Amino acid sequence: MRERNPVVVMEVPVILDAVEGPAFFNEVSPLLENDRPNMVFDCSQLRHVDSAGIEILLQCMEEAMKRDGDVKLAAVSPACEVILELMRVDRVFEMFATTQEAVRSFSAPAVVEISATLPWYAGGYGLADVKVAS
Amino acid sequence: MGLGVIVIFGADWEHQFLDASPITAQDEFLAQPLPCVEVLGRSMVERTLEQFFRADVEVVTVVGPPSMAHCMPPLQKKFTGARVRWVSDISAGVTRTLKEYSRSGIEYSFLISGDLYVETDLLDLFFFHREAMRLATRAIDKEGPLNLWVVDCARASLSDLEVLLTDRNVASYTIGGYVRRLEDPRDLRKLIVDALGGRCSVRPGGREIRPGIWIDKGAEVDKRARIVSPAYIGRNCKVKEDALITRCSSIEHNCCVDYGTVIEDSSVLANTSIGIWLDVRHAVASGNKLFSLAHGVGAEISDPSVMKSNVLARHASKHGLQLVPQQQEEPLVSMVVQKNPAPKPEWQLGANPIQG
Repeated sequence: MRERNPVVVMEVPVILDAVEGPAFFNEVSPLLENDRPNMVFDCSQLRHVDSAGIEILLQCMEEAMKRDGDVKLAAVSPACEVILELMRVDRVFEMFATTQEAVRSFSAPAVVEISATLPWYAGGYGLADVKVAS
Repeated sequence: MGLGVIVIFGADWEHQFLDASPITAQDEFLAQPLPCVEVLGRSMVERTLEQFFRADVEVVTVVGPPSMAHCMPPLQKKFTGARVRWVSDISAGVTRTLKEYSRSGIEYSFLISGDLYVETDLLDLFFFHREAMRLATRAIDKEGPLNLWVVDCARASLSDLEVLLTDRNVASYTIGGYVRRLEDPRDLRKLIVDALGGRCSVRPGGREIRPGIWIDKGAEVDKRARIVSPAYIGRNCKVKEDALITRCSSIEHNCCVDYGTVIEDSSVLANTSIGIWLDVRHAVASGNKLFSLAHGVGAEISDPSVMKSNVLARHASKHGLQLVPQQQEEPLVSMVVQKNPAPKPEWQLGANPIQG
């Protein structure tokens, strides 16, 4: 049985750019050094993000993935979502409407309905589920 | 008997009617009214004027608030018989124009809101009005009344214009042709999609180099870029290698779509530069602003390597100046102009330029 790590919720600052971003990364990086760091970035306060800010989000995700963890985004405003889409990172992050939903997503895998007509691998199993099964 | 037209801009049709309209979110996004924005090579106000002149009207007067003067295309140069009148009181400006029309022997006039695009038999509307023997005739379509009327100049100039135009007793003429109300960027996209799909008579500028692909003069499309029909690439645009322009997208004049960027179901308005490796989907991009049609929100991009306006760059290259990025300490200030004795071209020419 896989041991579940606590999920850490971090509030992203109002501005995430080349100036504010490094401070945020310095704050987050000790948490990312844990084993399997599960992090939710609460973006409800985030109003301004640029390419440097997005790079920091990607850097956090990369660090988390190195240690078998993940970073998920919650409460992203539509305007920030537009920028994430523009820079092609909307598909890289899992995004949730609220932090609660994002936190829950770490413990409860998505319910998969197995169709009688489709093969098992078409059911939408996540990579984590496959790992547990093996 | 003569026919005139008054194209009215800046009127708050919903509330105070002919009073000047307040600034809206749309105005903030585009910095110019939608009818003045270039669509497939020409602004809609030019297309509207052309329609009226084709219907043998003698004179067209554009009436609008003085704040609009800077964004109006040079109509008087393009159309003999076109006049512009910048007034703070729109209603008084329209009444004065009707009186002038009446004095110069023009009996009837069309009144049309600048943000309305209509394809109909204008002469049929005029004859309908003359036979109806009313003071005014208002055009309607299946969605309701349109801001398009025909009035008797002499009688209309003597009556209260707002009462006259909103009067329920005016005759109604149903339009069966193509109608598009240009109220927000969504309408602009719908118009472009309809035009590229051949659902209205708006034709893109330039040459149709392949079925459904229009390339305008001076556009450079790299041979490694892909353009999926229908699409329009405007004058002096640059589409660089591995860029993809797809699903009824339009790139207006003096734009640049950089390496690997995808423009899907979107319109890039004039003088906009889109950086490398980006996705512009279901959106209208203008300068450093992006309006997402999917989310219904606009976003301003402060990073000039992602999106920026090309207006400054164009003027600089014209006058032998070079644009240099400002120091790193102030990254949000995009550019400053600096004299350079040996100006370097800002853009590399495409490997396979297509001259329209």
